[in-house]
Amino acid sequence: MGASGTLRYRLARDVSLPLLLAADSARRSVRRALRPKRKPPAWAGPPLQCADRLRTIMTRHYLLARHAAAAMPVAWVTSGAPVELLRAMGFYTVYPENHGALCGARLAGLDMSAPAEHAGFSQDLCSYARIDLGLALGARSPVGTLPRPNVLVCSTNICQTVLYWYKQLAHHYSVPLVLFDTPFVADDLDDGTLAYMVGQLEALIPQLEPIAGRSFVPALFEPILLRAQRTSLMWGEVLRSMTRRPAPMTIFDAFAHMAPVVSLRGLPVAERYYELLLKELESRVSRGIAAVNGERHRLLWDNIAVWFKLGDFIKLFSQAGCVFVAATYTNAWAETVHMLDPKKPLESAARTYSLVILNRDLKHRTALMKSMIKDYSVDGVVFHSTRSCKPYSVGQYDIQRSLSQDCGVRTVLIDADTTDPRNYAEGPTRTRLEAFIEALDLRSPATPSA
Amino acid sequence: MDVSSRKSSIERHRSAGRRIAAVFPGRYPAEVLHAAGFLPVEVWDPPGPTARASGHLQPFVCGVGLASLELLLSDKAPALDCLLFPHLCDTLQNLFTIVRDCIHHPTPAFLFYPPRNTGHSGAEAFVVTQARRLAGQVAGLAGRTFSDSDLADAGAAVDRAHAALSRLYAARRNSAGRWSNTEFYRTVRLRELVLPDELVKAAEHLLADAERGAAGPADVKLVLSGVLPDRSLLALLDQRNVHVVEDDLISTGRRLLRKPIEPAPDPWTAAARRLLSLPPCTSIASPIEHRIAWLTELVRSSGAAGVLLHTVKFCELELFDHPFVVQGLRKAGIPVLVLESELHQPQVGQLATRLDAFLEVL
Repeated sequence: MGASGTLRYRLARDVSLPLLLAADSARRSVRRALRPKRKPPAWAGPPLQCADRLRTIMTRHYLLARHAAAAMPVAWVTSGAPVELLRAMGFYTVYPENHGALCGARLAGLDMSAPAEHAGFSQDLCSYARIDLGLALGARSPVGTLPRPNVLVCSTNICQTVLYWYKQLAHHYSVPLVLFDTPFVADDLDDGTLAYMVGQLEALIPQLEPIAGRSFVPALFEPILLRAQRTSLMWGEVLRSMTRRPAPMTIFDAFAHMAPVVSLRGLPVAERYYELLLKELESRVSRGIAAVNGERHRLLWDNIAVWFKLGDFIKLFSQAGCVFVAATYTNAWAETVHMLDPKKPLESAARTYSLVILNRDLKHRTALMKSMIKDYSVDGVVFHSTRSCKPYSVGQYDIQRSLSQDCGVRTVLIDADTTDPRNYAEGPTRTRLEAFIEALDLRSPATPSA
Repeated sequence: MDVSSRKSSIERHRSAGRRIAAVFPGRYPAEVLHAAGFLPVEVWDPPGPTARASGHLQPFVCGVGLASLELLLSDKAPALDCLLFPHLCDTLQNLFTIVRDCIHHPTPAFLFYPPRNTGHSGAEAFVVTQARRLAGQVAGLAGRTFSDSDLADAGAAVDRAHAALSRLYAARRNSAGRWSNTEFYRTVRLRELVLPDELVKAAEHLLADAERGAAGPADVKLVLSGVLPDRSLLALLDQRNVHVVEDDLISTGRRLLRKPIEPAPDPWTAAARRLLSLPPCTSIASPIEHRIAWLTELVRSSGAAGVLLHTVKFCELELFDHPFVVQGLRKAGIPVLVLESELHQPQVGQLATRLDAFLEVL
């Protein structure tokens, strides 16, 4: 992390990457213009214009990451870690979960996890973890290389798996693992648990300062915290746009557009992006533009996406007039952020980060899903059961029964995986989903609402 | 005194006025339950098919989770006064909330969260608040509270049990072959179903037996690591005259205090220190290096020829650690065999073949 590294990073950030990205954008525009015009399927509404901007932002993030290690400390963080503290200390943050999702969406999950499995990591383990460990053990990522971490920051608010996973990374890279342990909230958050979490956040600062090579300045932290909050609140607004009929976007769009709130939260680029997206969505709502023409059934998705089947699922559901308008997964980055309070930064951060859906009991999750069913006028729920995420999946059978009985919605549960196609059976899954769609049609064969 | 049967232990203690708490796998302050007049009966691997549990849990849930829920749903479950779920992993966390919030099991269910950040200065205070909360919950059921002096007495009994088990472990190290593996773990696992002083008696009984004569020959000595001492595996080892001389099993060795805790200002802090002084485990933030060093020390101090890592299918806790632990041990010149099997459904032939191949190498 010397002056030359910093210079290279700045040159990349301010000169070469903007040029590269502009050239890439121009290339894509030319390709689009030259490509023979294909008629979009009848069900497809106009695509979100922000998608191009999203692609540029995320490409820039991963390209810039290649230069980051020479200029600043790099932290690999879990998606539920209190990243605002790291930003205030100048860390470049990399999200292995986001990288795993990206690899899954690009159908690279198997190749990426192969070195990890070869080294003995079981195929029964979380496939995000296997991808990440595969990367550590030599797999080539579709995004090129990720910078080697100087520190690993892990929070147990999404699962205990991340702790086991990051312990392996800490061993492999010989770097410190900093843990923010958020005890499972079985009822209410009690004072003892809150004190334990606040104490850990306080302890995080002196642990990170020597790695960052700079002191923590509270005055820098507050605006970052506020920006992260504004970003997440806007993300909540983005999701709420889908309460409208017809929905201006779908959850399949949200799976992609959530990347900035997960990976770039607290940075101006993420905030600006959601301002833009929100404007576009408001415009679509006012003009009645639908994401899916002929919207007939509104659905709720539970669990992480099946990244390698996104395209197929979009087609299958959309052509039947089924629109996913809500997801417990995308909602997780908007659910508790209103609790952040700059006057009590650490205490409010402890509350915000520990009260997320996966760190709470199934009573809470079921109630949340019931309220989403009501707020988003949902008439069907798809549960994705994945062995890659036990805290998300174990309990779905009971939630499914509860929602069917109490809310009168159709439900279906599919066995799949986030990124590993070996855990997905095309024939049986498609049959189940088609039967589910038929059942929705039987219940409400009404005319399209769009 | 018949202490070997779960049913008879429950009946005996119930008739003596104790209440019964079923405790699911993990680390927890048993002394709190003892002081509150409860007998904790641990549920690690109840036998039998898991048909009813499969209606609530996916097939990729480990056998421990499935068997635990099956026991609760079956009509064979004994009358219980409360259920305690020490938070060991994501599966058991969700099992707790399924039982309490979805199945609405009539027995009150509580969660105890052992801190993962055991190196953090606030971990001890956090355990104390957790233990006090648990005490309040069980006192509510028992209709009576207990004093610090009651807790101190219960803690002292727990210390005696740890000391007795430690003596037993030392005797096994020093005279491998004295007991069969099955016999040894039958006594060690009494911890799951009796009070500490009963365990002390049982351990002393076994120790007295050791002092009466010389140890039998042991062909091979091994350290056993993993989840629990699987009966089929122990039988296989016994048949081959292979003696487990140390263990790093989640249910036994990893819950055994090897040395006295630092003196504590009060019995609550003492309970916390007992919990935080246990050996390294995947479930807490202790680095892999600590676990490798711990296993290496067990091998060196016991004169074992190698390590047998045996895990239950789908146990994330163990599966994550295996590759680098194996690598670390092999680097230290320690042979390792990794075995994975379903709970109660081990493919014995396959295990035997792999075990025999390993023994040949040794």
